[in-house]
Amino acid sequence: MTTISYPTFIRRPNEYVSGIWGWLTTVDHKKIGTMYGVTAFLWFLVGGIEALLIRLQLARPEGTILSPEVYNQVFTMHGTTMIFLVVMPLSAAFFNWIVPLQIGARDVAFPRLNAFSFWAFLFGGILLNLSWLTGDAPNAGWFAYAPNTEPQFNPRNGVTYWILGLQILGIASLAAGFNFLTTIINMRAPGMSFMKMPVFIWMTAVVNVLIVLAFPIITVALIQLQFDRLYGTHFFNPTMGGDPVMWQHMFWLFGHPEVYILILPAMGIVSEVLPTFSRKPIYGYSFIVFSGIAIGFLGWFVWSHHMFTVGLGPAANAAFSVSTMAIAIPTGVKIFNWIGTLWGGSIKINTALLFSVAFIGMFVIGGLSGVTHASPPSDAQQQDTYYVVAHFHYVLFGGSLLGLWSGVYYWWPKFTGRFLNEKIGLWHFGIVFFAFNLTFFPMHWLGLDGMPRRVATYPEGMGWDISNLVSTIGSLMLGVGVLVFLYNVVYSNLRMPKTASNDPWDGRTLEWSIPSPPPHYNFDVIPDVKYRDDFWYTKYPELAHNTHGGGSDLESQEDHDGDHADIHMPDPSYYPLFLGLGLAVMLGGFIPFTGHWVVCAVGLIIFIWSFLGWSYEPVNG
Amino acid sequence: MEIPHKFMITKKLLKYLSLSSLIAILLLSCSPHHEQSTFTNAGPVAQAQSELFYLMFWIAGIIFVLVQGALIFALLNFRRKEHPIPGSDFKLPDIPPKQVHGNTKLEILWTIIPALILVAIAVPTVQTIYSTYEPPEDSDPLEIVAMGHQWWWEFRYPDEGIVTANELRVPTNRPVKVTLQSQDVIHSFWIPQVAGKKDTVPGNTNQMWFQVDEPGNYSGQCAEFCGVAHARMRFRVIAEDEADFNVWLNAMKTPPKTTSSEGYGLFLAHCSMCHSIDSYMNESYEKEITVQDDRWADWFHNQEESARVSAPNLTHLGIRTMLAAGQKDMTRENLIAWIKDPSDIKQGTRMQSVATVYQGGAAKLKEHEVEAIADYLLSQIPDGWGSVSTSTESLEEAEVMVWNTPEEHGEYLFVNQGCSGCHSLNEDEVIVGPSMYGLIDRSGSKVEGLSAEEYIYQSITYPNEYIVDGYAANVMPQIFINLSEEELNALVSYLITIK
Amino acid sequence: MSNVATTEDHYTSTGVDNRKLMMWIFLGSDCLFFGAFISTYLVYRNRSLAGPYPNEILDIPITTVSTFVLLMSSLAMVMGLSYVQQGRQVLGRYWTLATALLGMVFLGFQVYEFSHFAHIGLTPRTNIFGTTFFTMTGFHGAHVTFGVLWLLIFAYSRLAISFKNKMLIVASFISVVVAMAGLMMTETLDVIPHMPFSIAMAVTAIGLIGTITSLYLLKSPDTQPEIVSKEEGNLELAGLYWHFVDIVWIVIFTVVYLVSAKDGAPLL
Repeated sequence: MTTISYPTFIRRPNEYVSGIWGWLTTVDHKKIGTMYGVTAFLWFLVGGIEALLIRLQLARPEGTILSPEVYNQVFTMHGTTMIFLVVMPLSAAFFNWIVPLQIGARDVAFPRLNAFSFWAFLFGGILLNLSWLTGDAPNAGWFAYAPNTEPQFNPRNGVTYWILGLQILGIASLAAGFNFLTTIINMRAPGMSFMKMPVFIWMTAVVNVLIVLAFPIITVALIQLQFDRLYGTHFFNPTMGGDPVMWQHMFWLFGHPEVYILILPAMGIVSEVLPTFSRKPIYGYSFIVFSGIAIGFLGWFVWSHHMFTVGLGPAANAAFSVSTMAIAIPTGVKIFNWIGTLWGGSIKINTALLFSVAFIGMFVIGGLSGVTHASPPSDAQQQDTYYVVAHFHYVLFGGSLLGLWSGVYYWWPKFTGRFLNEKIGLWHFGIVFFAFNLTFFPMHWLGLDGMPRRVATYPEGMGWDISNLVSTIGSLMLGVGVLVFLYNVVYSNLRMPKTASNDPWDGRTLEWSIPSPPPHYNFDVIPDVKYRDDFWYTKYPELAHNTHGGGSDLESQEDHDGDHADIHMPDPSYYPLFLGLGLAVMLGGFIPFTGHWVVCAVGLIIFIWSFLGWSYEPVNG
Repeated sequence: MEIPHKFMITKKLLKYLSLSSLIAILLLSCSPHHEQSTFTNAGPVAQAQSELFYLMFWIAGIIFVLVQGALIFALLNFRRKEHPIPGSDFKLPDIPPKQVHGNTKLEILWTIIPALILVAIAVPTVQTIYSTYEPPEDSDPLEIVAMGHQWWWEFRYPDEGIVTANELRVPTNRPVKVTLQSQDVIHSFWIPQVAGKKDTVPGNTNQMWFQVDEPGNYSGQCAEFCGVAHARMRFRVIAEDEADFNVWLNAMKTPPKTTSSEGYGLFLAHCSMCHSIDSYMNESYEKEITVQDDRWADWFHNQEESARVSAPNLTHLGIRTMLAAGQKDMTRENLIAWIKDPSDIKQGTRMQSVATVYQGGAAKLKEHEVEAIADYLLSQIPDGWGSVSTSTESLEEAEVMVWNTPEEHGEYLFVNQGCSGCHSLNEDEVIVGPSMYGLIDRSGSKVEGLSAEEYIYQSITYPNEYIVDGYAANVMPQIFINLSEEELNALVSYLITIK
Repeated sequence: MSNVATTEDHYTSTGVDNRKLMMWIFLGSDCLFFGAFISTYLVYRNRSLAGPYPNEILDIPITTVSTFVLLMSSLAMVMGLSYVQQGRQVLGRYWTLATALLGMVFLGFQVYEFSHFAHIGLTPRTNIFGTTFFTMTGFHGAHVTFGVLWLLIFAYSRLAISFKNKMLIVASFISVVVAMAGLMMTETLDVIPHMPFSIAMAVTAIGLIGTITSLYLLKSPDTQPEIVSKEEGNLELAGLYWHFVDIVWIVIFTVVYLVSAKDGAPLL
């Protein structure tokens, strides 16, 4: 389409490339999903070690394992890592793997952009963690409240690493958001109307709408903070008329939708696992879907509940209190419908189902404690205490992570063709479930007993000693639980045979209609969808007469001859890798170390080269 | 694969649940002393906040039992009735259950009922938001200003003209209206037993109120992450009945028993550029606020060079019960340890990073000097506080001293006002400031039109205007504030004799 | 990202091209990006503790001209896309080039304005107005710059087919730069005291005439090979982007130059 030929310095990979180069240049959503999952799990280990350091420091009063400065770095990086490098990319791993399979597509809309998202995520995470090597890791909390992050109070480079790392991760998320929204809107199999999409797809869509709309706000806030720190502007400098509260508004206007970005994917997973193992359709499909949308929508009007003690005034607090409580309604609807799904089912109890059920149980606790700080006077005692730490670990760990683990056990045979060992899995579940409650339940009490968050240590005689010790013991057990999972993964790869059939769980959605693991092109023939849970009704046509999904009046697709040679998949490309690398090096070059402009220039050159190369790369398929 | 003891697992699940709640109950009951517990309410504000929490807690408790009960019941009751056949995993001997898609009436029901419950929570919530915002209209609240600093608290009583730090005295049974401010970063003012927290935000002014019902000590703590020593930013509220409180108010306006000692000189030399100690004087309130702002601005705009930063007011330190922002009891031992090496008690404290005397680690003071400073500070007790008997002796002693010559007077002042702490009398010896040796020979030529005497006089009264090359500004304390015209002249006449 | 892979060549669930759909989603996202900058500007109105304040410094007439230029660029964009869609590829690219050049003129105005403000004493560090104004308009300028590059690459790929054409394109660039330099000279009048205003204006005029002439020559029939093709490539996407950036400018213009133009020292 263009008269310009662009020189390629490195031979373009073709579709037969394999090995490391195959992974580096892949644009296959399944391989990218795997890379997301593996990378995020490695970051999870890093964030987990940080968590254990925090707990060891707090095990006894006047702990001296970490200096206060290092403690601040560790808790900042723990939060940042778990949110941006673990839960979000783990969700992205599932988006990548499952979305095309469930909507009956051969890949996402923009495969190279998809690869770019992954590489940007990887390099962004590396940049963020490089700060450890300089001794100046970010130390201002994942919320980075100004003016504690302004140069006068935080002159070293840690927060700058944090800003630029997050910018890169934000770009990665935005690119993925554009990609998945386009994929879901545009690449559904013929006949799959919106109301026939699996709930997981719906939740993915809501999450990506939130990503696409929320991340620009944090991008701007980070730009402003970066300019304050590096170029002497005054956005959050009160001595020049800036307002630190403005940072909080910007941050939480992003930060609260972010909370739903973290939890909705797990809700989607649970909504797939429960019907499959109950052998029943999801209860109240449209209510589950619309409550998900309602949560995503209302999530935009509650951000100031993170700021009840900032002094916005009674009117604002009252308004945000009521809007926050309103979110409990669609959330409750979801929980009731999940129980409704189990009710009257034929429930197969295994690790995947137990994780899903535990998700509901733990999420209910997190939700109920959430209501107690939706009320500003009550929150005045709870804000910034361990009660809040307990609350959000019940929704983030007890919610998101248990949900994600449920998805891992559920889809593992689809990913690999092998099962995860069920016995080890039950041990994994039991240890994690028990240790999780042992770690985080006492924190409710600690918070109500007046222990603030983010304290590097605490004095003796406050009555906090035993609870903290118990919590630390729990966290160590939690570490053991994670190792059991790791062992299960290794065991599955080395010892479990490749026995998974197409449809090992008697599944309901399209991914179970194709081999495990799926071929490169996913579907021989793009399916023609007639029903919600189409695959289930293909297997059990006699159950279809009373389904709400409705029959499709779509004319049958033009015939496919089923010859695989006709299926053209996009070529691999190394430009996404270099574009991500160039972006990270370029933005990393803004951090004011000696000679940083040289690094920035090198990054810019890599970026422009790969951008142009990408633009002029002939694309097959 | 076979799943062994399926039923056991779910029973275990139940057991774990009950076990963790049992542990929680144990934890609730076994620790005896909870000075920051939000369950012990010492005033109406905390009381109102607790009541709201209890309301929600019980509602949440009921919902918790119902939902978890339904969940566990469903899990146990609707287990798949199958007998796995070895070798053929995941056989499905049963037929699919009835394919239920939902029930609109049920959906509406479980949308409306939670909504009604939330209304029942929202109404008292909004009421309490307003009732905990302003003190009751018919009351006569005590107005105070709480300033968050990295990492200590400044408390001002604007109506009484009193400034103090880290220890807030309030009367019982009278509302206290707090104006919350900060100069540096965001902090949060929190006395768990008395009232929920409110942030101090630089550039903004917040307000809250509380009231304490019973006399006693209440523990407070900064609740917003504010930097490296956040965990060490505590304070104490001492509630007293109105009469005792008024005694304290008067005492804070009374001079201390002693004004002069070896420690006083050392304090002036090393500490007084940041710490005020004389706020009992008339008109000192406005001065203290201005000086504190100056100290702050000095540090904020020139962190590398500034030798001062805003710091706690130490007036009548001897009657405070804790030191270093609620870190230790106020004992001689602790105070000496704190002065010697503040970082040992509070890592990151600006006292160590800013004050000249600490450059390079612990205080560059001799053991007896530290003790002298500590003794001086502990002697800062208002005249008439506690036992009255021996109070006036030393004061009188100081005032009846008679000087034969101005030079002799000047020499006494040079030592007792702390000049000798920084200025050596030996040639070319630099302690902190320039040596005073041979001052008369160089002073005359420093500034055109000023004689040596005039130059020395000026540089004592306006130190920053006459900085000698190679020395930092803002280091020398403004001791002239404490000196009369006669004393200043005596000091000058002594200084020109040093050769 | 011009050629983005699509696994299904033609079929999409909505009938809208994937890339076009993604561009719309991107623009929705970008709304929030500018929304955040504009909100910051509005929230921070009247909070500057030191001058210069908007009412002392904003030059509405000159920005009206630059706004008009940007609006005209949108018109040129419409023309370009229309010709390309009719299959008149070269004429379409000529208009695309015109769009890019008008965008460059707009950027020149912005550079002039920034340097003028810096000259009077308003930088991003001076006060809150400077902080918010420069970042907001600067990031808009960055968007325009990206659009200009995109359009130039697009236009260049079909216009630079002969030596003469290449020279004319270079000439048009140089002329735009000369015109901008002329405008900048008016700013330096007090630095170079003996340079009359008329010289600066003359340089500006020469630059503008050069730009128009080179574009006209580029348009003349003998430079246009007969290429008829309906292929529109990314021009529609670039067009969406370009119009969006224009609309954002209208909002910024309204907010800064109309709403807050009279803002002075805060009433404390």
